[in-house]
Amino acid sequence: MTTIITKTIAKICLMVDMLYSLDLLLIGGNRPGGGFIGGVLCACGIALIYVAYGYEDVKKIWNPDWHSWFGYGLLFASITAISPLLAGHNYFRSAFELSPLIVGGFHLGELELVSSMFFDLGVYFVVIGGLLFIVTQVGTDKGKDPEGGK
Amino acid sequence: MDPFNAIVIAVFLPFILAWTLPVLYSVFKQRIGWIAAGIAFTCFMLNVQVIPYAMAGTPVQGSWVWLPTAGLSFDIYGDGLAVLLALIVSGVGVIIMSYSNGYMSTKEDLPRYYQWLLLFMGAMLGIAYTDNTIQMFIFWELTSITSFMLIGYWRERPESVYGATKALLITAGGGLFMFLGFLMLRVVTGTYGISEVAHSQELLSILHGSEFYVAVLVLVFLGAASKSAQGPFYVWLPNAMEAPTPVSAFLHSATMVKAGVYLVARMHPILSGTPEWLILVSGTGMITMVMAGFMAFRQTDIKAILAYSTISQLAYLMTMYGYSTAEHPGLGFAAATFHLLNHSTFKATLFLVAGIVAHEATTRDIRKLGGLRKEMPKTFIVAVIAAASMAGVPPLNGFLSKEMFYETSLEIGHLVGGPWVYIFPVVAVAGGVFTLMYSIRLIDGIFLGERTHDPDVPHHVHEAPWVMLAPAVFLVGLIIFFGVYPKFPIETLIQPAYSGLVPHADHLHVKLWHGITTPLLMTIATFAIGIVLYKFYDTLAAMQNSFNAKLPWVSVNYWYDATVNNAKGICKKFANITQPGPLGGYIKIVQLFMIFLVVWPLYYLGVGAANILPEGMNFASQPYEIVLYALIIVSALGAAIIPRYLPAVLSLSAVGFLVSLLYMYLKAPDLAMTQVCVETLSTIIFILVIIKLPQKFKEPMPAGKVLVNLLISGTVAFSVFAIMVNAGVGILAPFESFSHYFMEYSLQLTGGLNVVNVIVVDFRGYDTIGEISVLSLAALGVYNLILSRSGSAAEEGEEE
Repeated sequence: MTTIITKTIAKICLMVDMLYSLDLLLIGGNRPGGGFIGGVLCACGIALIYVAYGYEDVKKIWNPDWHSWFGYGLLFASITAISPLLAGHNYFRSAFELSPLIVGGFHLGELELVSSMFFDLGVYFVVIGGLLFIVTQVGTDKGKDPEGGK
Repeated sequence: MDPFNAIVIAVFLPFILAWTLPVLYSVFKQRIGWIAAGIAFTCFMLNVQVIPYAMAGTPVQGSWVWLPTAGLSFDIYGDGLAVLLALIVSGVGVIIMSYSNGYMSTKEDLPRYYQWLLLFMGAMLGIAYTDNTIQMFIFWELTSITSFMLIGYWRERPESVYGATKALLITAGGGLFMFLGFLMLRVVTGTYGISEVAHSQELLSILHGSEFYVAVLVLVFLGAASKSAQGPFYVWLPNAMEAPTPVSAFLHSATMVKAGVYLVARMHPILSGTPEWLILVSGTGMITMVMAGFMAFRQTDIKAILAYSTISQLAYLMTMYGYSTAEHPGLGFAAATFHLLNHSTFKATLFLVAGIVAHEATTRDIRKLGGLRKEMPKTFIVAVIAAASMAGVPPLNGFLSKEMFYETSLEIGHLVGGPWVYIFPVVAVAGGVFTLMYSIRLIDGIFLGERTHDPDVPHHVHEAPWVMLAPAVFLVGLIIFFGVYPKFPIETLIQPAYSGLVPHADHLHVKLWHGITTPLLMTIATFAIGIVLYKFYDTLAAMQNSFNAKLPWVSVNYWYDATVNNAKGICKKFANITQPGPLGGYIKIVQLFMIFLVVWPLYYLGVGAANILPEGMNFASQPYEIVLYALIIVSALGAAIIPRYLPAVLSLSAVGFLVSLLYMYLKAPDLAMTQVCVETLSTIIFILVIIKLPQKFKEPMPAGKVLVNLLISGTVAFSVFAIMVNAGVGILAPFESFSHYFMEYSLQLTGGLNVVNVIVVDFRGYDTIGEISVLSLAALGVYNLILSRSGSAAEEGEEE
């Protein structure tokens, strides 16, 4: 699998993939997308890199703790869910606001600020972390290799 | 300070500050023991603030609404009895935490130790002041848990683990019965409040007339008896002595085991006054009192003797609280409450002495000790006074409350009449005789006689350091003070507790000298019989030993061990049946259940095979759709037939990708996108796993098995099909769809246009947070599966 062609394509794909994943996350409220699908897409792109370059090689350059990603994601989502309580609202109450987006004096349109976005961000991280944690764990498992492993 | 605030702070301060100890430890090191003692002292002073209110007969009341939907609030009720228990808990807490500074080695994990002690103290204070059964249950189980952690403090010792588990199973289990009783009480009276029921004649008569009365009484008493080690539940207390000695002194003699007695005292206005009450509470108490006192003889460990003594002394309290009858409500209450206070003083002292002896002489075996009076004169004096108080020697406080015990036993005998006129006092004297005998044994075995030259005991035993001696001396001071000047504890603590719970309580007069009365004669008889019988102490102990060796099944421990040890075996057998291992079986069961779920309702509704397909179905398809269907069928067949793993898996993935293409045609782009991504990832993971297996199916399946599998999967496929085609039409009239609600309100309420996403992150956010938790758990589960397999590979190999 790790031909030069795969590697090159995987690298290009990753960039597009990441951008698209972020786009999906952000537009989720109004168009097809959202935290879950964005997260799965991002995980796909990174998994592709792992497959193309090999886990060991990728690890040398970039080795995030995927388990802390989903841990923090879960924490973040829970905090988002609880935080309305502090303002005296119900659990999971959401809010949104449209604010004009002005850059350098030009009115570019409306910027929609939605509080459930933060919850979606938590979902996004849980999905990325959870899936890639499974991929890396299964991929690096050496339990019954003939070489023995650990 | 406002007394309500004082109580709330006293209850929660230990809980909050306990968590700061690990941080403080990095600064203060082993001196955090004094900080913990300081916290306990603060709680003590806060409790003192409540005394005037209790004495004035105006209990401190207040509540915080906590869970309004369930009708729950945090209710405080600070009357005399509550203050008494709170003062014992926080006062003994100060003493124990100071003493621990000398007892615990600085190498131990001190933050953990003091942390759990403080948490326990907070939970006990919670029990004392609670006015709500649910709150009582919560704090009750908290004490069980903290006790578990403290008994098992030395985790590496198997005996500690055994003792801790036993204590937890019995006390927490009893607590669950109590909880059931509380729920029944709520059903009958309609409230969780304790004082509310106690003060309402109407509710009381409803309860006593109710058919649930006996059930409530028995269940609540089960909780109390298991906590206070009464009846057959006594077995956990001797094993709990594996805890560090200060813990035993604090939890398992002075405070936690008093919780059960306290519960009986607290509930007595509600439940007492019936024959059932007398039989259950006093009956259990009397049997336990005599049996535990007698069984103390065969113990050789000082702490074990003290444990049995504690069981017996708690049984005194139980018996006395049980005396409360309809003719004479509150009989025995004052005596029991006074003895509760006194027992805490002398028993805590004796435990502190046991700790000192174990610390200095390195053993607690009474056969190896002896003759220590010369080397430890101060400890000797302290121990003699405490033991004398326990045995009921005047002019110490134990004498006073024991006199009151004899007196009330005579009275209850007269109230009940018949042969009971004699039985109650005789049993009381028997309890007193046994108490006297093991009290003598303790002093005799440790301090009197000649030094044994056992290799376990050092040649020169030192006197205890002041850190350990001072708390014991302080308690002995209280023993003498309460004995000589009983007016002080009676007026500040006992009378308020008595008047607070017993209507029309009389004024208590406790004096050392009453003249020659029947109780005094009973005391003299106790001493005479006890001293005579003491000659046969060893014979009696030997008799018990040989009896126990012949009939092991008489012991409650035998049954406990049999049950708990067998539980492991039974669980394993059960797991072997329910979790056999091979995945094929699990899948088959899931599929069969699914068939059942579809077929049974169809049969129930009387739907014939002809009606399963709804009328007017449109099978017309575009040519490209037909191509797609054909491809899906081919790849699904491939997944089933191909005899190699890798191509089979790829074929299965092809089904997924083709289905996502179908979604595109059917104009569901988000579904298609999700399907593609998920399919990609699952294929990667599948391949990562499959690549490690041999690439050929090992065993060709026998034809019969293939047929059965085919039948099952065919039926499943048909069931799913039947559901799908009927989903939109419905064999039954379809439920009203509520999707229009989301359509209407999604923009208005959440500002989102994508209804699917809005449902996921907003309307149904609860579901989503559950789902991402499951995803996280699944990831951890995968990790654990892999880790456990590679870790125990050698072990598995052996089993295979």
